[in-house]
Amino acid sequence: MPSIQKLNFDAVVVGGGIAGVESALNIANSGYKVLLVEKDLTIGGKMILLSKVFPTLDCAACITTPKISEVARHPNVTIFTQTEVKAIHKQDNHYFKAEIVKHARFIDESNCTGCQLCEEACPVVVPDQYQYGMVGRKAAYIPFNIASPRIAAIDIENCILCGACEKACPTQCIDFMQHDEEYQIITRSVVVATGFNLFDPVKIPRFSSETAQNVITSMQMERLLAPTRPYNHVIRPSDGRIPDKIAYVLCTGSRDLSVGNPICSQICCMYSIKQAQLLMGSLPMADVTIYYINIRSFGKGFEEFYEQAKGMGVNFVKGKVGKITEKSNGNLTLRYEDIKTGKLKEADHDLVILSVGVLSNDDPQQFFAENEWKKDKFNFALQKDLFFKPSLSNIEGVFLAGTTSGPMDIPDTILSAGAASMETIRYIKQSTVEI
Amino acid sequence: MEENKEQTFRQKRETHTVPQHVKDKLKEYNSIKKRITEIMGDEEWNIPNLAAKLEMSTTETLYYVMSMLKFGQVVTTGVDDMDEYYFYKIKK
Repeated sequence: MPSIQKLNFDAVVVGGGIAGVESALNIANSGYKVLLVEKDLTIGGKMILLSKVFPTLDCAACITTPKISEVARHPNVTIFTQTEVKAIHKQDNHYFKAEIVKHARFIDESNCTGCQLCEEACPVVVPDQYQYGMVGRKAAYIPFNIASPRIAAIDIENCILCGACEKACPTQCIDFMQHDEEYQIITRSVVVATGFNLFDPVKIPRFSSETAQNVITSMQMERLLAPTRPYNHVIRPSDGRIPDKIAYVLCTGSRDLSVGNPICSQICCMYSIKQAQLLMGSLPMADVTIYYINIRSFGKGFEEFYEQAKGMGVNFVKGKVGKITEKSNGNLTLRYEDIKTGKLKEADHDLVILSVGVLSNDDPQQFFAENEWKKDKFNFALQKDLFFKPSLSNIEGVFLAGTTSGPMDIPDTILSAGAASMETIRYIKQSTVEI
Repeated sequence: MEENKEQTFRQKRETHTVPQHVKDKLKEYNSIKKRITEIMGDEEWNIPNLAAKLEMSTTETLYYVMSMLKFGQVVTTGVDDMDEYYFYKIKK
């Protein structure tokens, strides 16, 4: 049995999305040692998978990758990917003990050059989780081109142990004998940046997302529009046809008591408008219709962005969609209530995108159990002082960054991460405990 | 050096059994890929026509062709006159 390795840090940042990366950088720039823990193979979270950001239409990857590259090269930051936090125990006012498990990647991370020769040699093809199953990936693979760290991983669950990757690797970095490594981390502070989960539309069977191939989620459309997209073009997943009548259904899993999420997700209106504009660019002949209850364009430049979409020809229908039915040719009939007239109407489309909402991520509850991690009534982390110190959790020394505390867009996430890191730095400075 | 390079997957075989469904999936993928390659030959195909020839659903056909496109075995050659479907060809 391998022994538990012990490490000390000034801060542990849980979650390697944009909030975690920003927090880690700020704390590390102040001279403190930071451990950034990410459960996935790559840092960058959901943002690195996006096509562009609203309302500027800047390339998401172009904003994310410099930050990621900076954090990866920072001398004060240690990054553990494919790592799970099992428990965090508060020891006294200024120190925590964290138990974490770094899962085996079956690659010597220090030697992998990301050449992808292992990927080329691997004969196994399984659905690619980073492309939402729309295309295959190998069992020896790099998650995607701009992944960080850009090193391979072996999907041991789907590996046939043929050894082709090991034979092809020029640096001999593949090691099937790797085991999970357990660590005990002593840290002065913890930043929780575990992000959010997206609503699973299968929970609304009347939208047929489980059975109709051409009913997809907004995150799948992000992938279809991204530079590292699965199909190289925007086509329907059912038959490869270029869509020309596209619909967005806003508030799927948000503002809906029937699915247990009564709150607005804050980002769906704007990301849908962004995607509609991008679709108008890549499919100039397509009709794009957005079915909405209310358009909430509350941020800087958002209203102008909405007006711009209308000017480009995006059709906005104030209507509540009740049912989506698939036809034999894969087209879809939307039955909706026209809110302006109060009448029930039907419209045909050939691709429907469900603008799915933001839900809390319950992971922190698992590792903070004994300290009674408190949540607000919508299951997001409880903010101890919402107005004056929004990054304080109910546990002293544990700070909240990004969507851990509620739905927010990327600029607000960066601001929240800035606030969390400043509070963390202040807290570490007050610490008198030697660790 | 060559000896060391091939060692670890063999060692892993002693403690890890490859599940049957993983082996079956690999066989299935290879057989469909072979059929797609044979049917496509030197011709250009769109997804519905290829699916009909394969007697497979268009959704599944799209998955396999797009995976082959990703791995550089298939290329996109253009779009039809109606702007409805792209054509794909085996990369020689």
